[in-house]
Amino acid sequence: MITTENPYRLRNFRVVKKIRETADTYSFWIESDLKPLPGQYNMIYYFGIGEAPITVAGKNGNLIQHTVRASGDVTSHIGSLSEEDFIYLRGPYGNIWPAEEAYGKQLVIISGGLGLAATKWIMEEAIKNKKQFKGILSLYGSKNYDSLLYRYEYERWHSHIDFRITLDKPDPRWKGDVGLITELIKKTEIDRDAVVFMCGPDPMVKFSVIELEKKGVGTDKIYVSMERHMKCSVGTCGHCMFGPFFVCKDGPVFRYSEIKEFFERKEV
Amino acid sequence: MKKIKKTQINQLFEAVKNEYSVVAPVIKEGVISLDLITDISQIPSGFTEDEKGNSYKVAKSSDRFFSYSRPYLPFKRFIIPPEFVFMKVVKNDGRINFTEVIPDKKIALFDIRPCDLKALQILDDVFINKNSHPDSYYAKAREKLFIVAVTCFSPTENCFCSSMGISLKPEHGYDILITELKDSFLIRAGSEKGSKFLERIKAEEVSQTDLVEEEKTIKETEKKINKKVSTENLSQILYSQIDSKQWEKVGSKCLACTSCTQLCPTCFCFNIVEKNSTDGSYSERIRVYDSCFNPEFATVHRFNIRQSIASRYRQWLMHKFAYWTDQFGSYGCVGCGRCITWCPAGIDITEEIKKLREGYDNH
Ligand SMILES: Cc1cc2nc3c(=O)[nH]c(=O)nc-3n(C[C@H](O)[C@H](O)[C@H](O)COP(=O)(O)OP(=O)(O)OC[C@H]3O[C@@H](n4cnc5c(N)ncnc54)[C@H](O)[C@@H]3O)c2cc1C
Ligand code: SF4
Ligand code: SF4
Ligand code: FES
Repeated sequence: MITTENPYRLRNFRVVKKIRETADTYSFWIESDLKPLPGQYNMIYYFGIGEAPITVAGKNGNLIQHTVRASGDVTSHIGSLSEEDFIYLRGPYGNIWPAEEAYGKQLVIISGGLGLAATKWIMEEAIKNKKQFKGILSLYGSKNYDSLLYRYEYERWHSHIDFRITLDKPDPRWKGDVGLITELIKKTEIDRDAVVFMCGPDPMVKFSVIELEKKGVGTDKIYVSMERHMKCSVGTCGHCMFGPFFVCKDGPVFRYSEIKEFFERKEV
Repeated sequence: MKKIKKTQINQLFEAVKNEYSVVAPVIKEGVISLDLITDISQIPSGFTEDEKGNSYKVAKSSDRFFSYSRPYLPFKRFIIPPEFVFMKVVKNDGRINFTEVIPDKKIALFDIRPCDLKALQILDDVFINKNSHPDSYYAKAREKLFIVAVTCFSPTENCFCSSMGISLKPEHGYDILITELKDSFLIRAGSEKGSKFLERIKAEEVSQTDLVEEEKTIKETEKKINKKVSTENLSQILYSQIDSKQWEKVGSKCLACTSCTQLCPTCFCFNIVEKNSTDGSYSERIRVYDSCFNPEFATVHRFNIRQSIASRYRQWLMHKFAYWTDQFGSYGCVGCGRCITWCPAGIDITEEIKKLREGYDNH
């Protein structure tokens, strides 16, 4: 007799806090006994619509955070949830950011757009263990001023680490860097033996890796959290397949040198 | 091992039918297909498929009982159906409750050939054995199966199972195995369930002559399998051919009709869709076969990563013969030849592999 728990079993938790991050993006703090680790994601379900994989953006005691951009069918329904509502999900899934790889070295975190949701928690953890690293540098690129996430945290982050933001487009309200994140990488000092954690759209990752390599950072020291279409999250529906990998279970975090040949090829 | 008279096959069938719903080959709309049957006479005895390239014809041409080859439909659809509700969701007072749907039918796969038997083992790896979150639906359906395998003496011209390391007489994976001799059937048990079952069948002792006849027929049949795939270093060679021009060529022929993936006994990809009631109180979560040839298969933020059909064909072939070996330690192909016979564009996967190999050799 094979006793297997249904991998699709959903659990209900309560939304205790909802924060409007931008016009279409919300953070939800959810009360739960789940024990995710930085890098992992949950499958969030909306009744009658379906599921979407969403990174765990933070954890505080028995509260976990999800940041959702209401961009499509499932995500816009999740975005409509209010405080006190139930949220249904299963997880956690996927692997984690290998923080100990960066012990004694400079940890560089590079995030593009909503990718910050996938790197924020590990950044927070790194701040807590600051002494373990030679330094922590966090570069965040945002399309424009209005899509900046977690604004209420910047001051705190600035006080702990070298946290820099660049906007793709100038804005009268913005006094900081303007230009693509690759420009920011170019002009920032990065150790040759730094360890990099990165999450953002595929093209951003591709061009950022080029800049990092120019600075002598090895592709075996660069870790990328990837996004692919996911339906099951348990390695059976086939949607997330990427070369020989299932992003849902072998990832979402990959060492770049191991995926390079597939990542840099079109239509894999 | 036991031996029964040819006329006793009915008895054996009835004994299986007593306990299970029986799925077996049938002839349907001129094609050897698969269906639930209730009478042994529904088995297309005497019929044989003529499969060559993508032509297919069935004719009455043999006096053997298991005269035909593997059916055109794969058995996987009786474990994981093409479309099924796997979870029911009810909303009550703002809260929702989930009921998991559990397969309840005890099914016997009657007359499964070595290729399809191996395909089942490959699916077991995908869904259970090599999965850290085993699929409970599959596991439960699988547990209820009774497997009656048949030694294959009727390969088609498109079969290349031997290249994929599959022997005509399977060694394991069945509950009982039937080998058809000229005047009798040899019956072997391959599991406890099978042994218990055999105890109830009146049978004769097997003689040395029977075994000699069996061995001889296997040898003769092996000679009839002429289609081949050279698997030597195949996955490495394919990895090296990921930029081959051949993908464009085959991509220009392929219609992305998904016929190959639907009929392939190892293709497992599926989609999950949701069907809800208009009053917002009830919803069903449904698993539907999907295919890497479908245009939305790899869509991220409304952009399909595999735009060209060439890249989707590459995904299919690379998965079967290269990625699969890294994922599950075996090939994702059992050489059943269905994808060759039923490809409207006349694409032959063994020929594609040959061309990719040539590309490698000429480099
Ligand atoms: C590991 C991982 C972590 C993610 N983390 C976050 C996060 O923290 N916050 C956030 O807002 N988004 C995140 N995403 C992206 C988010 O899952 C997709 O935007 C979402 O699934 C799209 O579904 P939809 O129905 O809202 O959109 P639609 O555009 O309406 O979807 C259309 C169809 O495409 C499918 N689809 C499109 N992209 C994806 C995808 N990536 N995965 C599954 N199905 C997809 C949908 O299921 C649907 O069938 C993450 C994705 C992955 C893979
Ligand atoms: S790839 Fe073709 S020959 Fe191989 S198992 Fe699938 S259908 Fe059969
Ligand atoms: S059956 Fe042939 S035409 Fe159809 S998707 Fe498969 S290879 Fe392409
Ligand atoms: S999401 Fe289904 S296989 Fe990865």
